[in-house]
Amino acid sequence: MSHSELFNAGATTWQVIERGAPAPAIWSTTANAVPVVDDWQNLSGAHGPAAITLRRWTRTWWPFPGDVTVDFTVVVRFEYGAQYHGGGLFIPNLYIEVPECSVGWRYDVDVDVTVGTPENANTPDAPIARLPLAIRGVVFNDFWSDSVDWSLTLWGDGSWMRGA
Amino acid sequence: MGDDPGMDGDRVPREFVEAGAPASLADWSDEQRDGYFRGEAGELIEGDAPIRLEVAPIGDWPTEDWPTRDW
Repeated sequence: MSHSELFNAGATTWQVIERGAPAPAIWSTTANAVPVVDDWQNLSGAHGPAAITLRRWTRTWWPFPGDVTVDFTVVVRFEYGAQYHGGGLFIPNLYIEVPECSVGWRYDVDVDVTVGTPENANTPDAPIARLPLAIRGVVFNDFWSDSVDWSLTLWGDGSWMRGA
Repeated sequence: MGDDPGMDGDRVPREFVEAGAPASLADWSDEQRDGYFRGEAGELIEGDAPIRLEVAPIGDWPTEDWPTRDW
């Protein structure tokens, strides 16, 4: 047991979009970055959730020039700033929403999320959670496919960046 | 990957046909297939700019190792 080490007490991977529609898993699946202690559920003072919006679209040229054939939005929401015994900054909750997902004739979309191993990005006595995640998938049809690849890093102080 | 165009999906939606597309996918030219099935991708990423919090050390809490006061 150590409050300076972190772990994810939730899920590490789940489906986000399945055959062009929001996957049922997003309604019940969460992840987090919390200290390795027995009473991590007693974290307090969480802020947020902050939101990161990722939108992807495909525009076609024929027979309707400029028509948007695929358009979906994935929102990553995470609570941050939760403290253990008045210190540290942890991520007690992370979840995914899909507020928009439209797919045209003969197109399909599959996307999933994989949460990486949480780490302490600060000192042992004042840990700050660092949590990488990857949202990956494919937009495809009978004749073409294109990958979806978004990597994010989240921190317990509320900051985030694109990339690992 | 997707449905076989030779099965039920060979039929083209009415709005496509009204726009000039052949009614059977098998009759589409390579240029027409590229124009619809290849497409051009775009993306946008944006997020909240939350206040970056300051971190405090985790407080010392009584443990079994703490000496007890001798009253």
